[in-house]
Amino acid sequence: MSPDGKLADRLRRLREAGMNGQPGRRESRQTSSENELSGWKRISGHVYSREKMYPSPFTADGEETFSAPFFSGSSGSIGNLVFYDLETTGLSTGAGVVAFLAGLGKLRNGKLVVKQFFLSDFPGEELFLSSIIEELEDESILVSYNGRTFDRHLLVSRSLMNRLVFPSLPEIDLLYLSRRLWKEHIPSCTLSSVEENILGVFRAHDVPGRDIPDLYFSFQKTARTDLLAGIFKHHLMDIVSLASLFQHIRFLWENPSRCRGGERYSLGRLMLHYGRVEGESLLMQVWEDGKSFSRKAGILLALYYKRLGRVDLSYPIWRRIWDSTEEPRCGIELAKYYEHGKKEYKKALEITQSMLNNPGNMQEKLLHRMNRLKRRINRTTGI
Amino acid sequence: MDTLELILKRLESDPRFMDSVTHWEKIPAQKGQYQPFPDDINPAIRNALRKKGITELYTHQAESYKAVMEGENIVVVTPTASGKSLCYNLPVIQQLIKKPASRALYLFPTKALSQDQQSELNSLVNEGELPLKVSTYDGDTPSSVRISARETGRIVISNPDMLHSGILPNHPKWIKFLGNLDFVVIDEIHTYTGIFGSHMTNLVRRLKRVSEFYGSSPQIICCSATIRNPKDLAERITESAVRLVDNNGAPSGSKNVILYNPPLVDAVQGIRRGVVLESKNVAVQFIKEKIKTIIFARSRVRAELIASYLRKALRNFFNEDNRTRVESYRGGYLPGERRGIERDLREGKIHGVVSTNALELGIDIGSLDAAVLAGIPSSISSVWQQVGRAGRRNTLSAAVIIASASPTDQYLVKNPDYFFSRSPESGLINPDNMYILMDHLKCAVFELPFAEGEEFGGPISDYMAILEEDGVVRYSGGKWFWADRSYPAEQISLRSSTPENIVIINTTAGRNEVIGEMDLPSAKELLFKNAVYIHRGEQFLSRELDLENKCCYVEASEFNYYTDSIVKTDIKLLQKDRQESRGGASILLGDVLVRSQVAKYKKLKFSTHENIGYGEIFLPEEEMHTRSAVILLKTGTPSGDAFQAVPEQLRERVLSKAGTLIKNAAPVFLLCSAHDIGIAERLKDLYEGYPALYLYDNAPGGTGLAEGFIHTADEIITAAFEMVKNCSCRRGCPSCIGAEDISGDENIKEEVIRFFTKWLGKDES
Repeated sequence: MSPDGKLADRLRRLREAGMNGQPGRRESRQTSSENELSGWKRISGHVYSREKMYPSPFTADGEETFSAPFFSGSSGSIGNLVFYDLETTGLSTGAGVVAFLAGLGKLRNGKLVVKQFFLSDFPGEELFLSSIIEELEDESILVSYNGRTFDRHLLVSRSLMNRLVFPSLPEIDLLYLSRRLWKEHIPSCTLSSVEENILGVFRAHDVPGRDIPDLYFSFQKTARTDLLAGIFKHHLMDIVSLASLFQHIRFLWENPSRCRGGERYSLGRLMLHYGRVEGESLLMQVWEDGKSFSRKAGILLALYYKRLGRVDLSYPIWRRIWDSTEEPRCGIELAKYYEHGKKEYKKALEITQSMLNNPGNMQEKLLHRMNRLKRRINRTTGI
Repeated sequence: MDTLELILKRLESDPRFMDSVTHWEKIPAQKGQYQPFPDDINPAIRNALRKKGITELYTHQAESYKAVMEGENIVVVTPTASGKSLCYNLPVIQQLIKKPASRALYLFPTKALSQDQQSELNSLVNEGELPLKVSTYDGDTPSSVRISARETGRIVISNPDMLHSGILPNHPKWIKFLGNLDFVVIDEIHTYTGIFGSHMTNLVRRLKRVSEFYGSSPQIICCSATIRNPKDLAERITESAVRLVDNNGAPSGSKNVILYNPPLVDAVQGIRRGVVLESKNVAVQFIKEKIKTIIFARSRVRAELIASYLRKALRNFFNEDNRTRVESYRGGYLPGERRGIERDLREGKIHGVVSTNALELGIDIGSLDAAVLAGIPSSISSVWQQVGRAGRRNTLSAAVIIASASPTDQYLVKNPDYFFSRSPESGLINPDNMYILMDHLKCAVFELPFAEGEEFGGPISDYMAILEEDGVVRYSGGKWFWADRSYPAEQISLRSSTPENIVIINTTAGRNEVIGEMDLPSAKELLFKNAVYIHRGEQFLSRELDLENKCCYVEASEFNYYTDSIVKTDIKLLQKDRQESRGGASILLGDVLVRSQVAKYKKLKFSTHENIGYGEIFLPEEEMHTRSAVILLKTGTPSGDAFQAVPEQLRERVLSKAGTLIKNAAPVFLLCSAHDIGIAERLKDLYEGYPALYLYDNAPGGTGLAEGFIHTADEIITAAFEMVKNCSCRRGCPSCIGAEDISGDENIKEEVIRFFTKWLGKDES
């Protein structure tokens, strides 16, 4: 509770004004004068739309297909993709946050066609949402950047509150894939960072995303449409980037050999995650290179082989890493391998004891293992 | 004869003990009053209850069931351990099984109570294999479990804070739940008073509003400890008609409740033996004979102190076999430690537990045989909750309530009627406190736009106009919409604005150690620069009170005086709402502006309280807009005439002492602490030119205490009088009018007594 001493005065002033029968209160409320937005078509009331065309990042037209990891393991048709993004009045997903700008990008006749819908004032929300929903078809596949936890959620909630049903469609969230591919290699995985560091696209005079809600509120209060131009452009660029990014990731997926350096490690990891065997050879290349990410690739591979029941393939990797770095994870795996697999208790003990020399948070487990090993050695040597 | 009975006999024949006992109430055992299960109860529930040993209902459970089935909102008032939760669980589960879409929301004021309820419900559901999912949804719920709680939880157990900041602002996620919400259970409703209670009404308004949006209108079931106005409080919180269910049918064993006032050490200054040592002495009597005993202390430090004294005292008797175990229990322990102590208590492995009020509410620790209250809790309902911790259905139990030197304790220990006849205290709230209302309107408009003409406890267009001026809502198309990027619930706390604490740092001889902390308002009065501050018996001098960095530097000192700050309060009546003749005075109610400043302090000599000098304090002034009752000592009314009879040179002091007494008496009747009430006196008030006492709500906007005061003015003023009249000191002490300079000629205490005697028309003898 903020003890705002002025609240009482303000309430009294309003009440006195009300009692004096001043009629002007209703008029004094600022409603946005519905200046025509140039280049936009007014659908009705407070809802506007427009279409923009861009060159398609895809080589062929809608018939082309793509495959996992993009969604549910099977392949989809490029023509069903809907690249979408929202601009909203806040960053939470609470009931008071509204989407006021929506863009849907689709491939039509070799072009990327982006349709934007704009909500100039809140009472138009139902129409705004139903216009978006109408653009979607049963076969549509949504593509977003952080849509799974934010944009999609907001569309579903706002629809519910307006007694509409937002269709349940599959969605590919490129944020998740970008993180898996690049989080070790670039400063952050925001869309703009991925654009700059991966796609090599630099936006000039872009409106920072965090300023957008306040610009919109200012527009509502002043009806100055010029405040919106930057938002509209930023939003279009986001959707164009989504399509390029989709194509870029798809290209890497289908042409792993074109990956460079650490990216090769990340793609290998991503492929193994989605059960693609090509991941193994990618990781093997990184491991054998002996350059950066080599050790990480080795550990991933060794675990992969272990899951397949091929500890014989894991063992040389663990051994090599352990000998050069005494990496604890490998030490433990080696100790397990010697103890349970090979029954070579002395070797296992040797590794465990050398790990105990380095203080760490596994002391208790290591001690436990050491004691057990000692018992086993005693038993086998018959003492 | 069992051990406890023998101990009680022994105490009763011990003249030294009995000298300190002001009252010994023997409450006879009560037989249970039962009714058969209603015919319509689902056989699975009946079966589950039977497995738990319940074959019939207590009368209050049966009545609750019937009333809820008839569609009524109810408030159930019964003592601790009377099978209260079945009053709501039975009808709720019955309906939930009958109607598979139906949902219920349970609100408890603390997480510990939620956990307790979750395990109780789980055991019922598991025993009966009932097709119901019970989910707890609070700050500790992992996010993976949250989704299933809202999607499939039939009964969701939560707390008001979570409803406020987690559930309501995200209501679209809860559509399945809120759209089928048929019951809301609000337990421990007596804890929702003051600021918290005022928030609670607004929270219920928001819950009803969102539920209505999704097409449901839940029935509300409240439970309360014994207070004077349970039905009224429940109706104020739910803003619906509520039926009172208070025909307690639960059996109880016989109980001895002993009021104990520690003996006087210094009769002149009214100093009594300390509550810590006395409690230890009493508790030892029980624990050394292996009577399971709980001791309630008023603070964490005291809990630890008493526990360590007890262990020391018991070491002589039992260290060899090491079978007597005493534990302390308080906030600040790790959850695991707490659960461990609770479990050992339930299993009877602990003989004595010393707790803060952390163990007062709900948490299942089984039954103990004796309770010792080291100091009287802030409310009588808490007294009974603590006393209720001792005693099983059919055995003898004992509770010893030990008074501290505080005026309220001293008053209550001498007036046992307040414990054993009707509860004196009313739970008060002010849901239309403008600040609280404004906070919730922000949250409500965030949740759903307001339509023109829509109400929220009352008309809201003024408030919306202000929010519009501030640019956070937008009026368009006949509705107000939230139009700001912030998430309002995040910035609003339902609990009384927890003031930031000042950390006390001891810098003696180059040291730099934290020795304690104090809330900000108290720090301004006790830790100002050059204040002599007593901390656990040691004397310190405040070197600097750094408000910006929230710390105070102190140094060990050895002065022969202590300091007492003088708070200068300037109070202005802004608007009068009404004026009534009550308690022999003319009392008006209205809005006031309170400006207060701690500007000076007195140096008072230890032991004589002689004033040996003044000092300046430099702290910023504070301003607050709140509600106040104003007692006008109008000429021609008994109060005014009594005041005119006071010698002129003493009037200011007598008025100030009368104010202190009224402030200290009020919490007995209004469910609040003395700190929640402010008092200011005026020899010549600006309003009508009479002497006046302002009794104001010490929270911005008011929490209903000023209104509550008007209704109980007669009783409070009489209690203030009795407080001073029945105090055994000679010239004033901290238990009545405050320590007084005993070197002067005038006896202020006698003047104050004379003034009240005349005011209330009591016999001078």
